[in-house]
Amino acid sequence: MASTDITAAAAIVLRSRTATGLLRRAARRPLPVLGSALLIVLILSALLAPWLTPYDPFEMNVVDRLLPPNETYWFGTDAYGRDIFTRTLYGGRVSLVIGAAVAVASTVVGLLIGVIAGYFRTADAILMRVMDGLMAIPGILLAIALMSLTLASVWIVIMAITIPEVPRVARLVRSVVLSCASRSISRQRVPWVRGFRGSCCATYCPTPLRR
Amino acid sequence: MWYYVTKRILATLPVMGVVAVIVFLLLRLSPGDPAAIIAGDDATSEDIAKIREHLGLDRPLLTQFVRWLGQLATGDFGNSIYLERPVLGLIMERVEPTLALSVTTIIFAVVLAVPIGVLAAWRAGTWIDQTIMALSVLAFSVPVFLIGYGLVIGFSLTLELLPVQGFVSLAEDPGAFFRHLVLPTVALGLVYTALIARITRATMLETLNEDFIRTARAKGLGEPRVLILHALKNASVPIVTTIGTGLALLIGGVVVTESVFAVPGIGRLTIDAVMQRDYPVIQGVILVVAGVYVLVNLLIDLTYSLLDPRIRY
Repeated sequence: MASTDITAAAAIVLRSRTATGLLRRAARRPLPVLGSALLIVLILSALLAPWLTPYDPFEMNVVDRLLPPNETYWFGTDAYGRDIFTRTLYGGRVSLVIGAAVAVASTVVGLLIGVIAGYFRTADAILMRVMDGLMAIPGILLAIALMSLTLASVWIVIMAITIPEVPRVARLVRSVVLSCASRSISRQRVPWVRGFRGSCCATYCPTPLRR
Repeated sequence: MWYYVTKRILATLPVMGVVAVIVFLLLRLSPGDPAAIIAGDDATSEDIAKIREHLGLDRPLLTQFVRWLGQLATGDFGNSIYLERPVLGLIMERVEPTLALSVTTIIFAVVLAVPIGVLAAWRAGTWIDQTIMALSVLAFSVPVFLIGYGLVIGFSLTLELLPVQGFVSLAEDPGAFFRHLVLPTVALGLVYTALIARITRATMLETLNEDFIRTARAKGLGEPRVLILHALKNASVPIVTTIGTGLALLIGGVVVTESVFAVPGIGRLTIDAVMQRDYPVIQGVILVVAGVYVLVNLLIDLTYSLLDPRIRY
């Protein structure tokens, strides 16, 4: 009797690991699957760009400039006769790296500032005023100034986008901390460090990250 | 509380002071010389030097900065290098279009997003939730100018219901004022709707799992009361933060929307000034915007204690 139960359970586990089981689970939650699939396609097309297109992203063919999409140039050509499809694939490399880096950097920094500001009143007064000021500086001005300081590089672009993004994340995280810190969940954890670490990870992270 | 409010309003001054220094330095670090841009391509270096001297750009940085601060102290933001008009006047002209678009956009977004977000959280995991979230990803991902031009082609060019672009002052013609605002509001509002709906859903999901919601249901309260009075009110602080931050960003200027619909707002004033290196205009706009941000954020913080009395200042 017991052994049949175990076999049945094992069968269920096995089934969920097989392709059909996976498919069935995917069908129940189509959005995350669709999203991951699109992202994988984008990453692959950026990585495999040299094999997906015969053209060079910087090669100019003045004769073929400003063409509409056709069989040779799938997305058409730009004002210098460069293939736009090729440039999209290669551009994806830069965009994906910048997008991922900005998302990670602004979340980490914003989370840290937000949690600190939400917990300590003195830090709140100073940190959030700094955030107000940062928010006011347009990203493009920051980018131009940073570019002139060092050579134009991907890192500078990431910084120029991250800096105006941080205040938004910080404000959101701080608001969650403020409304949670006054609840019993944080008061029960008496030791400071534990309260900080525990509530930071368990309570505060999920909401802002789901942004 | 009044002590806190006074302290926060006074804090505007140091914030603007620091922003003033940073912007001043950023501008002087940036390549591009306004004198050279004015003088044009054929100018000799003597011409450029003469213009620099006229604009006071040849003096040491510290002298320039002190002179600018002195002007500010008397309420004078200086003159635009190109338009040769007072910066404060230029900003004031842009206030009405910017405020109008910001307010209509945020109202549109909140009215649409909060019910949608609550519905999605209430019916989490069902097809309703998934449809709403899929649409919100779509609204968030499609570039504003694409939605904008789409709306123009549909409603202005094909159906001829609404004006293509431009802005009419409320005092001049209230009807035309609203007709001109409809399309930019929708184009811009969809992005904020998506953002606010997502945050509403996320915080509502968290709140709906808490014990007091079960208690409220157990004591026989109707679903609408549970959802709105108990759950939404307790979930509201992050939602209000997102709305407030959105409003602040809108006031700071939305360049793409303003360009698509030819709305003469703060965003285009800033970008045009940055492109031309019109130092006094850039400095003035950013200072004013920084001041507005401090005040908007103060208002958000005060709303917190209204919505959640446990948060006190």
